Amino acid sequence: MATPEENAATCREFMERVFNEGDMGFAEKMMTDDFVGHSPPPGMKGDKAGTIEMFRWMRNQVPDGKSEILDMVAAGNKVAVRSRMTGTDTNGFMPGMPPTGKTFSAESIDVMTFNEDGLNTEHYGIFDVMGAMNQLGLGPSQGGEGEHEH
Amino acid sequence: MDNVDVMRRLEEAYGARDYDTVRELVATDIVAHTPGSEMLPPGIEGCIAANEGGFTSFPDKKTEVLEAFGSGDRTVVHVRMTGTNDGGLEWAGVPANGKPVDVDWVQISRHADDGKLVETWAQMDVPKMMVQLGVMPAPEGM
Repeated sequence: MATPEENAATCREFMERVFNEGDMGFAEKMMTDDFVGHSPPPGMKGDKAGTIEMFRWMRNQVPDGKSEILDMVAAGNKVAVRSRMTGTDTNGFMPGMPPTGKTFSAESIDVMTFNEDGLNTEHYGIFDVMGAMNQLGLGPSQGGEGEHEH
Repeated sequence: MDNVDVMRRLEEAYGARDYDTVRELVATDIVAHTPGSEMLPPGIEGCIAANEGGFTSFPDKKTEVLEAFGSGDRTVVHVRMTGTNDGGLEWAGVPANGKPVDVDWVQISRHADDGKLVETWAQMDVPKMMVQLGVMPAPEGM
């Protein structure tokens, strides 16, 4: 049984190798074949192949993108990660959007589930899309959220 | 009461607008790092104002804790909110339009030794809500 600490270490290595270095082989190895992603970006699939495709797409759109872990909470078979991604919108921030060439830096909170072998079976997460879009000058409004109670 | 119980009780209290209980569970000088928090009063008054703002926008607002876990002084909650925009979202320049929303947020919280919330970090799926409210076009493929 993978411990919460081991799962947290996997998240750390995953972020470094997959997001920051583009090592999709590591993603392939650490995600189960029946992986379910609950928050794929619009137009993308949440299965394993679709999720790895999305990681590739992100690397392509924001080639200098770097993610940094700011906080982690690991308990049972779950790990929550709060991270900050900083990068340049080089090839278009969203499907169908022209690139702005501007930089952004925005946080996200992701929750991963692991099986007893320490492989990633599920994910959901929310990235501060509005924050990033406002920094890129693409925001429909400059408003934040302000609508839930913390 | 462990920290996860605090979060479940707190979510119920916000839903019932029971601010006596909220004040029991949240530190007066709580620091909330939520996008948009800077538009609210600091500390617990900002949390209450945000909850009241939510009920103004969505008078039938309901929340449901989809998942909650914790370790050490941290908790994580994944919450689903549903409601109808019968009051408008002034902060976003959106008038009342009767449109239903169904959105999630995820929050990491830091608790004091007595369980009270002292610091939070949250992300809400704002683009999804803006699409549901009809004020932002659905992205390609949605």
